[in-house]
Amino acid sequence: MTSVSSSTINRLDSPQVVDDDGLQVTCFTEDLHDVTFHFQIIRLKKQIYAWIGCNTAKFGHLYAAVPARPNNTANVTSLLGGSSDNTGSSIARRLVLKTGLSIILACNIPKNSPMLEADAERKLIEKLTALGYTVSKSQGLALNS
Amino acid sequence: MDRPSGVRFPVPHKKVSLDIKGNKTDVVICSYNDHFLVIVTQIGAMGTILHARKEEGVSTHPTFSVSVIFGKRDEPMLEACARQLIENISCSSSSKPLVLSLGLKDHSVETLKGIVSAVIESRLCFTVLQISRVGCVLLESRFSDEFDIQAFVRGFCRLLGLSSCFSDTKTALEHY
Repeated sequence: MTSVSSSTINRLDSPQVVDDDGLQVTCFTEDLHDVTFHFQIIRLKKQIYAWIGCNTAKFGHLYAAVPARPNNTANVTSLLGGSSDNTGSSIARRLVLKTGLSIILACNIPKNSPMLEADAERKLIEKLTALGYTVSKSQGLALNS
Repeated sequence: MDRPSGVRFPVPHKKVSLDIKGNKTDVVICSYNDHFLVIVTQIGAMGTILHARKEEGVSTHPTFSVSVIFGKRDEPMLEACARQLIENISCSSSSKPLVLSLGLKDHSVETLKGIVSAVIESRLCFTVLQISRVGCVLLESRFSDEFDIQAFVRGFCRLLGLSSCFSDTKTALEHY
């Protein structure tokens, strides 16, 4: 038995946060030099999904990263996209360290572009901090579960 | 940096919240260039993630392959759910693969059927309307949950006596 209790349709041409007691979706675009980055952040209670689009809206490679208890580290694994190109895996790892949550990251940044990766990561973390999804350094890795 | 107004974010998405067997279920559907992403969650996390795609082949009947890429690999109901969705969203021309995440409290048939029907009702679709063979009007409908837009467009064509109506851009272009 199902009933639809609410539905939200988003026309996205500006940064937007949909507030709900469950899931929050944020989409925004940043133009940097000659590259356009598109970002999507979906905040679930215990996890964050993020997508980084570099100029295109292709899905890209998919990674899962989880906090690892000793030493406040993170483990990353590639889910889609093969293992020869790990562009984005280090971003996923650092998102875990910044947020304390497990992360699913999709990223289509071309390989061998460390500058693009760094720019994208910086912008994404800025937004995560602005949304209140990150934890401060003094708290270390807050393992929410 | 300000973007020109009216420039859409390139990945449309739709968010729906529904109740399935008493469990609050959040569904997000995103359409990327080359993939669909469907997130279904009751537990505040993405849960098991599956990948489903149409196989390229020569036979008239399409085949689909479904695999679990993260999470529970021993739940056939989850794979069946992914298979139903990919069969439904694939048509003769569009064969974008699907990434489906199911973070569910129970894997009963009822729950999975509820999810499949909720996703199908919300799917994104595009319709091309041909007028007088001169040009074509792209009628873009990103969200078809209010009514069946394709049935509406076909009815509209019949009313006007238009000769053809195609349901996707590729078929329309092939016609010419």
